Amino acid sequence: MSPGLRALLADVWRRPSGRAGLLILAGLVLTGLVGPYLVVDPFAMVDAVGHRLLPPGPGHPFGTDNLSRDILARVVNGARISLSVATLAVLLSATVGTAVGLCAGFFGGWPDVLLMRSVDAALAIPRIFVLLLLVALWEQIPLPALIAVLGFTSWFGTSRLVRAEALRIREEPFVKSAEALGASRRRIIFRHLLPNVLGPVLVSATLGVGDLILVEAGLSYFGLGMHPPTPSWGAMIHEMVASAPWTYLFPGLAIVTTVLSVNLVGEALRDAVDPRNA
Amino acid sequence: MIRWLAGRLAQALVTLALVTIITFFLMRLAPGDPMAPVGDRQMSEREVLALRAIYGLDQPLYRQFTAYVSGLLHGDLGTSFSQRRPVATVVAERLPATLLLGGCVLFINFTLGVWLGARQAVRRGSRFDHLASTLSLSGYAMPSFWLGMLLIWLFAIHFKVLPASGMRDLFAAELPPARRALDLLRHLVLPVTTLSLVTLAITMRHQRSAMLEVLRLDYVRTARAKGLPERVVLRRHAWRNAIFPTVTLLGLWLPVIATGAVFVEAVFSWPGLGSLAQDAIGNRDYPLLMGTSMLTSTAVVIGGLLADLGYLLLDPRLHRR
Repeated sequence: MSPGLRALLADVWRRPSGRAGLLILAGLVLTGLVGPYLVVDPFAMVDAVGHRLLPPGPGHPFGTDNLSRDILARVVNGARISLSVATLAVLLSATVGTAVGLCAGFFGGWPDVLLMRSVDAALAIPRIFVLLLLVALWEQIPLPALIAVLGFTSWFGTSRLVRAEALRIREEPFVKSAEALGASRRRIIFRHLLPNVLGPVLVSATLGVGDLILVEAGLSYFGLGMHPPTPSWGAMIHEMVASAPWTYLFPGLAIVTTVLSVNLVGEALRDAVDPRNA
Repeated sequence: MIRWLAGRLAQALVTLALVTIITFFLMRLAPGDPMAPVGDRQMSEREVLALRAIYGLDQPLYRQFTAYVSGLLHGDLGTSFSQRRPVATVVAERLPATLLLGGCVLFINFTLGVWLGARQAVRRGSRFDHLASTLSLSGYAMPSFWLGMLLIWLFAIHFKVLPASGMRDLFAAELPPARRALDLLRHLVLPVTTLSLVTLAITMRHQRSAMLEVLRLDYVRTARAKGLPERVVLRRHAWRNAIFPTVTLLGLWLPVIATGAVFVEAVFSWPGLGSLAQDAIGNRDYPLLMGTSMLTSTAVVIGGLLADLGYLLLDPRLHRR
């Protein structure tokens, strides 16, 4: 771990909300990693007689759904899916956004104009329209494609942010002197610009994870994201039974807890990177 | 300033042109014949071909694009596949419901949200500040459709005090005007509450940091130093300047509301643009989807333009630029 990153994390840890977020998030990641081995098989009791739509109680802390599946087991298995889909998609979008932003900010001129006007246009089209349309390209979208679609539609904001930072840093004396010393473009981009934009990128990526968990849940709610019987939280809400509130209460609470903890960490990171508004 | 204005206008036009190109080619990316649902209903090949000719789908792609653009410039958004009516007419029917919903949510954000955010800044670090932050962030972390379902369960199914869905009662048309307004209001409560709760955090956070920014400035210190009561300092000096940045939120708001509306309208069967777009996707009705999408994007671009303009009018320092 680089010393900068460690200092940043220590700063987040010092803030009460950041610490709470980190702790909850760690718990959730742990749940996603080992939880599935601790709960019953979510498919074990499919259509077992007399176990349909049981309210929460002993044996089934979160109740069962209309196919007699244990909701706790499904929520725990969902943690793995929701967190990994959102994280992978964010890695993709942060990479693309940083690359585009650095190009626009470093080269300026017409590449900058072209890229930034396109980003403006892409930001003007509500993301949900684009997503609904792209996801509808598949009969049932495969997981890698879903991650790619989510990633490639969420980098616009990041690229704008990185461009602004790159423009600012370009004019700093240390970059000017590196240029005067004859540093190559590649060296300036990778040694001087990139490390200095990583802070804001980290903030927007963290907040992006929360955002994408909500987006994925929304798509699954429309029956277009992850498809049954995959226990994704959004898909569970899609398959809910209105008269049995526990079928959608618990998956929703899982979403709220995850997004909230990710956003708390993101906000704390933002304050650590730019302490003026804490 | 005229030059700046002309430049900004040109920029908005370029953005709109790019939006049109992106939207059009995105729609045509979709595989499968848009006429497929029609084909399901046992049509002969000749009939399908005739239909394709009617909708111009037999033309090459660039021809379709130029036809679409020239239609747009004449205010023609094309013809809906599924409804067999002009897209403009269908969209115009659904627009008021979404405007009503979005308008109420905006109103709550720009009154309650701005007020709460400003209070948070004034009492920075207090228990109120933390509580308001946590609550609004929790709202922001909720999927709007899920919150809507919970509210429906609580207020429509459990307590039976509010209607669960739709915009009007079945027999609303027979009611006297005052009762009809009350009926509409009752239907508005849950969708507006849902969308407001999940969006309030955005306004509050923005207003809080804008207010913090202003409270640090010298003239606020001067106002305090010359002995003005805190109430006057906050209202006359600080708040007036802190409200400017919030005006620029308008450009940001429209996509948030458009997206939120898609989900909230789906949960509450609200007869607006959001549920129209959802139907359009289900039916592969590309002209209709494109019309809804273009309308929203245009509103976003114009909203951004108006926000910049408002900023310019409100802040005299920018006149000199």
